Amino acid sequence: MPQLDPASFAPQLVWLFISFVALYFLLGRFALPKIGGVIKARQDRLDDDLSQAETYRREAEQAMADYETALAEARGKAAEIIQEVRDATAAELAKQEAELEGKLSAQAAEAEARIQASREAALTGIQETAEAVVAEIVQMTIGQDVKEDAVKKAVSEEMNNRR
Amino acid sequence: MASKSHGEANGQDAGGFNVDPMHQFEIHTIYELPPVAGIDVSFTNSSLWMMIAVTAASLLFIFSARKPTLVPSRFQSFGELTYEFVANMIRDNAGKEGMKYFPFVFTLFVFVLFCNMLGMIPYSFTVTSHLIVTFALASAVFLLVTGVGVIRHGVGFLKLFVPSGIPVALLPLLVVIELISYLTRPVSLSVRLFANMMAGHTMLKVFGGFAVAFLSAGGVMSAGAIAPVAMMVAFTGLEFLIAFLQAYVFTILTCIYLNDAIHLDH
Repeated sequence: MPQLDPASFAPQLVWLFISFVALYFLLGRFALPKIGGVIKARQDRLDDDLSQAETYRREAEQAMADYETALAEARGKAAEIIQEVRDATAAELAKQEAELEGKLSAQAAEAEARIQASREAALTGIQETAEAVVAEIVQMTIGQDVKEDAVKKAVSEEMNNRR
Repeated sequence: MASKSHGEANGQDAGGFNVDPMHQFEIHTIYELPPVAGIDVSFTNSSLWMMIAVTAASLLFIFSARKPTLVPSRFQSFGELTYEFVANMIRDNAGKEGMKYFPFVFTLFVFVLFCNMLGMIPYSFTVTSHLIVTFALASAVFLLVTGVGVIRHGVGFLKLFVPSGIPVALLPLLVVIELISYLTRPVSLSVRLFANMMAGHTMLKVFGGFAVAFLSAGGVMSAGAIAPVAMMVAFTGLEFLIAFLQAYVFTILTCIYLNDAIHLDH
């Protein structure tokens, strides 16, 4: 078994030491720090990006909340404006209605007064005609004149009774 | 080296075919160097493949870290995936404090993985199929872990060998068991890797030998080579899995040992 030949031990050990130390320094000096650095840089970059994404997410959430608030505010304001306009319109309407009503009632009153006046006038005319007719009838019936006052009184009494 | 001529002779003996399954583990000197302080430092095939592993791994990872982009390119993601793989292993098993030893654990994983994987190339040499190499790696882990434990906890590190909630009468026995299990860690760690690598490669070679034997028998017998070749194909897939798995196991056990030393808990 060649592995048990003691004469081969020394050169193997010497060269093992040389090559192992050489590899240790070559890797430790030129390869590992760079590889480790890249891995760390990548990890840092990832962490950075993730934290930035987190920040952006929070900002977006804030913006969303702001938007909601603004929307609710706008809605409230719109409702207020609508209510105001509605109130104003209603008031205006009521005012106009009242005005119109006033005008109409005034006209109605006027018309009524006119009706009353013409009725009075008509009634007066009827009374005079009735007095004349009564005086004529009496005169034709009994053949003598009656006192004007008596006729007037009787007619007005009768008319008052019938009114 | 003595083993060199011996092994080659062995290979030659088998009818011109290299069917000695252990031949692939032999160490050849490629370039003889003068001994330093009495130690043989010759450049061998093992050294060559260690160097290839180091070069390949360094180039791959350094290239993958060149011009990094936020969205990784293919090479970059290879580097990053391996990095994260090892980093997660440490974090999951040894906690955040374990990350201090990340470069060591990463180097260990990459070195073992590349040596295992390069060993899958035909005619290459598997560095980790030698017990002395895996034992040296395991000892480095053992020394590191013990050092970390002693530096972090001082004498309190000895608490690692005293399980809590145990009757006093049983303590001496358990302390001895704990101590032995702790001290055998480098052995189990190194033997597991070495044995896996050696067994797999040996098996592949044995099946290869069968195939060659059938073929050289000629005639109808040649058709019999299909069975061992089919086995070889299947085992090659399995060997790739084992090459990765053993690197993973070696590393994760290192993490678990580190956790023991850092947290002293059972």
